[in-house]
Amino acid sequence: MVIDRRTFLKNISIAAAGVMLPAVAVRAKTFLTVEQARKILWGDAEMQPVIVELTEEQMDAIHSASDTRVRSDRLQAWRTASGGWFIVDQIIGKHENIDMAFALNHEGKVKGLEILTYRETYGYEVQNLKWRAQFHGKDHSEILRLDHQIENISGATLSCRHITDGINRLTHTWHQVLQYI
Amino acid sequence: MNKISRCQPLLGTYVEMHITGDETDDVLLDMSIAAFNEIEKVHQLMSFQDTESELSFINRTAAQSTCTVSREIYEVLTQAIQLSEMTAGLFDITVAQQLVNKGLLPDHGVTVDASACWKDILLMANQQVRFTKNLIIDLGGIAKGYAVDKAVAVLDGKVSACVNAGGDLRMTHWQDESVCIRHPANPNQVLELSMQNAAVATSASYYLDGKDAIVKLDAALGAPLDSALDKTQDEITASSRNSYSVFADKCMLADALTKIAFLSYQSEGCNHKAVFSQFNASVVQVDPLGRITQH
Repeated sequence: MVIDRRTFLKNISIAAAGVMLPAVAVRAKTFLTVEQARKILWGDAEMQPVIVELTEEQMDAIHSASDTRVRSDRLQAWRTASGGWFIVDQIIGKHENIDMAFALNHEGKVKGLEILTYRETYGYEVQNLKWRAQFHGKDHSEILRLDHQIENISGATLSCRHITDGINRLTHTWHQVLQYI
Repeated sequence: MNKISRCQPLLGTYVEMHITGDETDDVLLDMSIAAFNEIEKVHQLMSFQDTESELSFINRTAAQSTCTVSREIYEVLTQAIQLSEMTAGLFDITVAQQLVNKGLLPDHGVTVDASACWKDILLMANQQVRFTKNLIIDLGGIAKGYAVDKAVAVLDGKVSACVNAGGDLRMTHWQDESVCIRHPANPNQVLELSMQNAAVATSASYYLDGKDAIVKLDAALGAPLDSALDKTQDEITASSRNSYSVFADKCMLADALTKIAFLSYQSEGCNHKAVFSQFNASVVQVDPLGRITQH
């Protein structure tokens, strides 16, 4: 059977409509600012920024002690007057990429943590909601509405075990490096 | 109007909270702290992994002697047993041992009678619990929803809020809201649905990779393992790719009922429709092509 181009395209568009609409790509979610997280974790405690640069030996030592890959040789950190730490760091998971704030007390124990930004890493289109939306004829208000609605996603539960790995890496970073600063 | 959004790793997943109201940032943050404290409390009471949790204490001792348990655990156990009765054991929290055998939960060394099931959990007056056989329980299929309910309950009625524990979510003002359900075949895409009740929860097979995924999922949800293992991988996968979202007035119900929906709608028809109607719960099925069916 020969299908002319118009019928072919029509069939394609019907198939596409069933699959694509009203689906949208999931994007990053932003929670607290660094300042808000600092307030929750340390209240009004005074703190000073500290430049922490890890040597290769330190990175290897943290890696083997925590069994977690150390991706960066720099740490965004602040030290409190009481000897505690406030650290902003990134966790790379299988499906997620997360900016987090951690508070460690003067003994290197985790006092609290906050997720600042959460990005899904399924595919490149994840970042491109707005770019994509314009081709679906959605105006700005509709895109803003999507921004609001997309906060509330129901689906199968995703495990947060990569956070545990991140905590492990930071407590070992304290043991290897921070406690001596 | 002001708004605060927070996310914490709790209950083994990411718990998000959005609170909106005519209050300062500090007031909204304090509310979120109080609400997260409720979730942390449930986490500490009901964690299977944590040997210090009340659940672990019950698993170690309730077969030997009667335990007086917290109001919270008693409430969840009562709901779980009611659902086991109504579904003839399709929902069964004693599935814990099968999950341990599969390596999905840690082995705390409790000896379990292979014939034990939910009928061997005895709930008595004054929050007392006794196991009549050696068994262990896991509340993974119901406690997240319960924690969400507890968090929402402590929020001031003047604010509007949404608490979402890895997909088990509840809103204070849900009437004009919608929710995004992940596409079963492509979880980075979502389908928008109107909220049909205050809470919703979804079961699906994505986030599980590898050939064992569906068997694991069935085990995690409490399906009879043998029947799942008898099927070929293709049969299991084909029947399991739909996702099921359940809307209910309480998140604990939505959480538990979505497991029952996933397991019972997979087979021809559903033997447990009465369970959903008894709780005024509605079921939405999304198939791998993104087609929505309201049950």
